[in-house]
Amino acid sequence: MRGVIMKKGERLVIVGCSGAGGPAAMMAKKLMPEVDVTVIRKEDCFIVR
Amino acid sequence: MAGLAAPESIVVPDKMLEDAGLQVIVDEVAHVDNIKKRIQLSGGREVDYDKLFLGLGARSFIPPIEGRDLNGVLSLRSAADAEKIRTYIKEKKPERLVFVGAGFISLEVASLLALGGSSPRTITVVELMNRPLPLMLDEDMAASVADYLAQKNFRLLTGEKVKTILGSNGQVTGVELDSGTTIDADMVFINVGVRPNTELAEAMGLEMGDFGIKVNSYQETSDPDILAGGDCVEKINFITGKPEGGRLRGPAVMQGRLAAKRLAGYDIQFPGVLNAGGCQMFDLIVTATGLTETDAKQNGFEPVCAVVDSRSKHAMIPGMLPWKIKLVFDKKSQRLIGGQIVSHTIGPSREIDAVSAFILGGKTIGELTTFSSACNPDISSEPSAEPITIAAEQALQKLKLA
Repeated sequence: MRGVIMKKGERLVIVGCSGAGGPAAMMAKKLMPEVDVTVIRKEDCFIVR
Repeated sequence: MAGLAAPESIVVPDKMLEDAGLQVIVDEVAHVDNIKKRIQLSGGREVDYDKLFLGLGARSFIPPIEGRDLNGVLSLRSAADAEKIRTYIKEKKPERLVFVGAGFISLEVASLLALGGSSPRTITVVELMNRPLPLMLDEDMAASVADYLAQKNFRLLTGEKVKTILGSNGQVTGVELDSGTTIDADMVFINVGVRPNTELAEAMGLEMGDFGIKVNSYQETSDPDILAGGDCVEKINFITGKPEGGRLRGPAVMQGRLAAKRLAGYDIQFPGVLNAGGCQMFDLIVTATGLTETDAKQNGFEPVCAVVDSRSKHAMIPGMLPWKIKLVFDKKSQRLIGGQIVSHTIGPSREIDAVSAFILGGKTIGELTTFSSACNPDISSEPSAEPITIAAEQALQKLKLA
C-alpha cells in the first residue's frame, strides 16, 4: 500500500466523467461518503452504457 | 445511431450525480500543478485536491489521408458524432456509402445505414487486413461473416487501403485505393481506431507507456496522489502479460471502480484485459475474447484450435438456428486462451462470457471436457452437443495426434 486511503474531509477530484470517471465518482462516494468528491468534465453530458 | 434512443436517455443527468452527493463542474482542465495539488480550469477557477483520478478517455484516430476534411467524411465516437451522422443522412440523403475499416463500429453503423433510405444504399467496406473484424476473428470464422455481408449486398474489399478521399467543391465524391480502384461515394465513414487523450498527463510529467498513461494494477500512476483508468491508460493483457491499449468500455468501468476502492482501502488488483467484445450486424452477432489464433502465434504461443458448429435449440425444436464457436488453447500449458462466436441469435453469443471466465480461471483442455452447461430444448443445444465441451474434446484429440 502506498498510503492512499482517503480520510474524512479530504477532496477527491475526478477529471472526466465517462467510462472510467463516472463509475469512479459514484463508487468513491458510496464507499467514502465523508470524502468530498468533485467531478470535472468538459462535455455537457456523458454517455453511459 | 439507430435512432432508437434519444441522446437525453443515454446520458446521466447532473441531478443523479448531485443527488449522490457529488459536486459537478462543467469546465475544461487547463493545467494541473501536482506539487501544489491544484487544478486550474479554463474558466479561471482553481480547485485543490488531495487525490486525483484521471479518466481522460480517447479520441477517434483519423489517418492523415488527403481529403479527410471534406464534407461528408464522418466518424463515430460520441453522441454528438452520432447526431452529426444522422443530420448528414437526413439533409444529404447519401446513397453510396464507403466505410473505411471493417472493425465492429464500421460494420454496425454500415448495417444500420444500409436499412434506411428510400432506395437501397450501396455499401462498400474497405479493409486493410484480409478479413472483416480482424481484431476479433480469425480467417476461418470471419469467412462466414464475409459471406453473410455479401448476402446483404455489402461490397467488402479486403487487403485494400484508401489512398485519397476524393471531393469536389468541398464535398466528398469518392475514394481512391492504393490499387488504383476508385469508388464513388457521397458519404465516407472512417473508423480505424482511437488514440488516448494523454496530453494533460504528459504535461503533468506522469510516466507514460507506449499505449497511454502508465499505471500499476491498482490504477496508481507514477504520482502517488494520482490514479487513472479507462481509455487513457495502458493496459496489460491478461494472457500475454504485454502492454496494450485495451480501449473498451468494460475495462474502463472496472478500472474506475477499482481506483475508488483503492482509495477506500481495498486491496484488489486489476487482472489485465481480455478484450472481450461483441457486435451485431443486422441479425448476425459476433463475440470474442482473449487471443485469436493469429494473435496467439504472433505472441509466441503454439495454438491448438477447434471450431464447432452448434445449434441455438435442440435439433427437433422449430426455430433452431445455427451458430459457431472457435476455441483457442495453448499447446504447452493446455490452457484456454481465446474464443470466438458467430451466431444468428443473441443467446449463444453470451457463451463468450463463460469462455472469458474459463480463461481467467486458467481452465485447461482436459478440465473443459467435463464442463456441463445449463441445457434446455428451447434455449440451448443438446448436452451431448454442448459446443465448448465438444471443442475441448476436439482439442484433446489433436493433442493426442500431435
